Amino acid sequence: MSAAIKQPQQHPFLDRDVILSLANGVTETLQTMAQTSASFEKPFVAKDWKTPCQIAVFLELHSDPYKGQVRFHFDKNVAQGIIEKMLGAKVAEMAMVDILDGVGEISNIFFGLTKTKLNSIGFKLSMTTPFPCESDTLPPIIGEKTLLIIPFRIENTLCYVEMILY
Amino acid sequence: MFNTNTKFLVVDDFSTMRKIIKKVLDEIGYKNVVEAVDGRNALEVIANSFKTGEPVQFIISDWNMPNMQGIELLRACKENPQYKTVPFMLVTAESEQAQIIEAAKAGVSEYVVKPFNAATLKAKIERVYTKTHPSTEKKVA
Repeated sequence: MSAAIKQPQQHPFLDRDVILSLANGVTETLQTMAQTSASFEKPFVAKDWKTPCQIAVFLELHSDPYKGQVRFHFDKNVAQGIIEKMLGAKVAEMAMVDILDGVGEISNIFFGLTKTKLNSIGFKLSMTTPFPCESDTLPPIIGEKTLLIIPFRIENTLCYVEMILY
Repeated sequence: MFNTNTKFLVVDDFSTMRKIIKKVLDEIGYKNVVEAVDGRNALEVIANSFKTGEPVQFIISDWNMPNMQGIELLRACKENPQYKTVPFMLVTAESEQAQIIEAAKAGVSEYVVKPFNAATLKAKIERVYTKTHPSTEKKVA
């Protein structure tokens, strides 16, 4: 009889199902609410990464005993375009407060959908309310953390999902 | 035909979602829409509307909101003899079976899961309206 080799346990937020559910939550939400296609690109792991985008939404994730944070990074023009499509009207000058409100609502839907998809496959995940902000006011990441960056493209512009693993 | 003067209350902490729902209502023909940012604010708006003799006649509310959640607002409405017959629709990103059952037990008229498209929301609003106004004929746009 061979002894089982104990594998180091992988952080559950790196699980393929979690990443796929998140990606599907994003694409389905954007397609349904804003008739906008998003295509996901190959994720990568980093220790240090700085968003090139101007808008972010973040929230805390918890799947006992693991914790993490997810951040969505949106290009400002892409975010405005998505909100305009959701509202069905062009807005000449959209105020930052309205852009943040719109991405907050979109992210709320992303996560509601992701959570439902994960719960349906037995992955219990709780999350805080998404908090939208301008990227330069994002809270700093304290200490050395592993970051999983998942780029996605909307109308040829890159936006990102960033998972910070605690 | 639907009474396009029906007074709707749209409750959501995100103004973007309130605008989306108002636009759908406008497309159906409903122009008489008031708004609230959470359940607590909604109760104030409802109470005030009854006081002034122009009562809210249809409530569309988000579930997850600060101060007072949509499900608590629904329960508060159903416990109030004046408001309990007002149709109440929950629009939410929460679509787990337990929550749908919780809403049904609390007396929700219809449940719309986000993300939704305008056609789905329109169809559900019209269905609730027809159900709660049995003499209603098919809407003429």
